[in-house]
Amino acid sequence: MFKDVFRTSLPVAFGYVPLGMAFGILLQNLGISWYWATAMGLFVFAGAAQFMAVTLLSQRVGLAEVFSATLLLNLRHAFYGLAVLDRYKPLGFLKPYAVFGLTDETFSIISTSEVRRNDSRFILGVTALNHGWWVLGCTLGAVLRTSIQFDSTGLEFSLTCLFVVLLLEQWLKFKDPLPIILGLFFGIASLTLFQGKNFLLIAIAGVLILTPFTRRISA
Amino acid sequence: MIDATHLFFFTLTMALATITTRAAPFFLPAGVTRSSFAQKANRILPGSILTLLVIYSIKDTAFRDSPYGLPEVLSIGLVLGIHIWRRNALLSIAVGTAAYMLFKQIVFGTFP
Repeated sequence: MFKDVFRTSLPVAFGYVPLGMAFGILLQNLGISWYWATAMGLFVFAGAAQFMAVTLLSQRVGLAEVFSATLLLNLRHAFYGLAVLDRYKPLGFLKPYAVFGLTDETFSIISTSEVRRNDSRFILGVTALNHGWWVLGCTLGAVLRTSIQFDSTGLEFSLTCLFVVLLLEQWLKFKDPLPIILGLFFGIASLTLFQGKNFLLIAIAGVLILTPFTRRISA
Repeated sequence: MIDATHLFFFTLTMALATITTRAAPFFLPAGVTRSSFAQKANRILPGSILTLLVIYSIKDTAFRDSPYGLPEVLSIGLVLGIHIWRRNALLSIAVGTAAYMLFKQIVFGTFP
């Protein structure tokens, strides 16, 4: 059983450990204690959101904006559960943990794997091991950054790179220009009209107001 | 310096928001997540928010002064090119960041 879980989870390790390390290094650049990277990996366990956390922390963004931005950035997760509702039913008292750990990668593994004899143990095993890789990466990065000193000018640009890559992936997958157009429009509007104060909150509100009309805007 | 109290509540807030999205389909009636507004929001929001985050992360760039945002524009162009070529997220991010640091610290760093 463990071998099965390990073999399934190993490709995730190659993604989670380096990416978690990048997060740990960046968070550490803010000059806080290393264990905050561990805590975030442990309790937040969300890649894009944690990278956004570095930006939000450095800009001293308020908690209401942190909550809404995280909620909306992770909105896709609200649709993952639908696909695995029945398979997660027999998990018992550990089900809340498996639901908490339903990341993009865990979801893609579970939803595409066939139902096994010990399915609950397989699901929990993959979730926990993936979580472990992520916490390991976050911690390693933060500890490494504390012990190695170097000129880190410009290192924060990796966040821009990450957002650009995630956006490009969205584009390649859906070839849908509307989200980008709306983001550009309300982003620039929010910057010029409100000087970037509550930037995300105002811009996302703008996008949400137009969302009900999107079918008609793009054919 | 960010104090520990703020970090604690920040982490808690973010954890709550993440758990909320992941647990939503297990608690909400299927009608809500299957509603037309939720479907539309799921189609629009991720791309819009990522666009906003790109803008947000470079909003302090002074495009009117030398070097006119050239490090940002060149590095983003490089990330796009390499990512379309290899489709390897870590490679794209590493090359883009290294290029930007090189531009900032050496190439454009010597100019006033």
